[in-house]
Amino acid sequence: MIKVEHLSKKFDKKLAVDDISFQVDTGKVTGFLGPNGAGKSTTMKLMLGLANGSGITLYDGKLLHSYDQPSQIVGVLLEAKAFHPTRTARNHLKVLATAGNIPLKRVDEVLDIVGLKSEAKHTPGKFSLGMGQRLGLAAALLANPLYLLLDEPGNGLDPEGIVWLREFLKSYTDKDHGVFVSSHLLSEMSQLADNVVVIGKGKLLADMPMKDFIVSNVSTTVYVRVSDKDKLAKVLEAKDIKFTKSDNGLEVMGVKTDKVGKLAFDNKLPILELSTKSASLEKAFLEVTAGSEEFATKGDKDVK
Amino acid sequence: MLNELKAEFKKVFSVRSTYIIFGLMLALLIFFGFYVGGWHTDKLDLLDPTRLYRITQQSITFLAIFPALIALLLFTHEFRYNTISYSLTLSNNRSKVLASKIIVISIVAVIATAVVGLLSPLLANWGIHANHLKLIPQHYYYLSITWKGLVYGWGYAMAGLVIAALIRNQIGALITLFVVPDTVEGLLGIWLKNNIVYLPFSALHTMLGVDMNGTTSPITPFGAMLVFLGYLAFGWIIAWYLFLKKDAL
Repeated sequence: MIKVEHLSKKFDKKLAVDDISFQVDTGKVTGFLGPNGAGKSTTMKLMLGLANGSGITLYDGKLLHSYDQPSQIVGVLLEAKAFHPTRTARNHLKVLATAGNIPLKRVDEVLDIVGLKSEAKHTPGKFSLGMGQRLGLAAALLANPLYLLLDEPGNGLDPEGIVWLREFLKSYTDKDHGVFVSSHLLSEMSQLADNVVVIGKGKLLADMPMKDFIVSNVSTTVYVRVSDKDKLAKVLEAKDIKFTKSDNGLEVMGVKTDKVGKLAFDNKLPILELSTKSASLEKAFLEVTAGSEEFATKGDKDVK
Repeated sequence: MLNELKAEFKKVFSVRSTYIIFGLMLALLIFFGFYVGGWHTDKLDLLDPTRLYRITQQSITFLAIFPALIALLLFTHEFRYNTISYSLTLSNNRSKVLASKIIVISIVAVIATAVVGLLSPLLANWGIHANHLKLIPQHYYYLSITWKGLVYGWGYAMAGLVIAALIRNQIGALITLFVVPDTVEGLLGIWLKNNIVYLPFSALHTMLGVDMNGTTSPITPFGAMLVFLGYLAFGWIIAWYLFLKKDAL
């Protein structure tokens, strides 16, 4: 388990990370969410000792740099294009394998895993963002570490690559490894992560299982379209049931479809459409991070 | 530590810039050694008994910038391309990473300087003979040129590395490396006059360039070396502290 305890980091007078604590379990994917500038990358750098701040991060009870070979403990992808543009993909990984005391035969194995075997002899200067991500992932996987710390690994990947990444990371946790991954692709994250850690303006906003996060932050609604929506609205008001008008119908909150259907039937309103609108990670995320965006646009404020 | 050392060697010799820089250094060595110092030698210089010694001195002085560039790029590339995040997470100690860079650059610089020191008099002599000129018998101060030349080449490369470690930004470090030794110290020399030898690069030049009796400088070559090493040690204390304490971002 990775145990993050009271991480804080100041840039000049600004508190970028404010007393954050959470844990990353083995056998699970932990998603790391937050708006732009929330402090996700800084938190990851603090966890790895790349940035100096206060607080500690323990990897199975020990500091990362107290291990003889940190490469066996954690594999890192912080930036898609963290490579020298004229050093071939294979040589880039050979340098890292040498530094981490990893057998060089592993280089071709990880290139094969991420689908870059054919690019091994090419310099990555002209790699696309997606190819850069794959090379970064190969670097993270070199030592087959206990944990992976990945910052936005899905950026730039094509749909096929995203599906591959999701399945690969899930299978990685099957081997009792832990994955800590940040992403802006919320729909992807909802399918990938078992747990979620959410931060905003450097503060911890949520740390819980993904399902609980969605359910606790967004209520499920019922969408109903009837022949006379104003009449149904009056019926709902009379019963003190909350709703909002949307498109051609109503979004009813706090009740199930059968109750809405029965009310419409009792009031002789033919139902044209009746469905449950499930809670989504996106809604939950927007709900939790409302007001904590560092770079909110005018459009963002209108939505709120 | 051995892993870090091997990795730093791989870093140096797995990028194109290293080969371009060394290629350029060799091309210039051949041009200046064979053509300028040999084939095209002035008639008066053929009567100089220290002609080959001076060619060696000049070649080492002129070409020391190349290993220094390799050193500077080794360090600044890490920050420019953010591979430092890998270097510092794969190793369990930042000091090991920095010490490895110093050792690797020291080895590269000493070998490069030795190559220049060995080839430049041979090339000059070859050029002279190829042009059917006759050089008078030479006094070649082997011991003197060996230690001074190697300290000069190593020192210049270390200066490149410490500038890179202090500045981190590639462009800033390159400008500093090219501007400080001649332009900045040259301008300060107007004010400092003979005391210019107490500036770091001037001390390094003095160490290599003073005559055998040390009469043209207020300090001996050995004293000049100590002046330079003092600056280098001071620079490294700051650079090391910053490398350990500053964010690797």
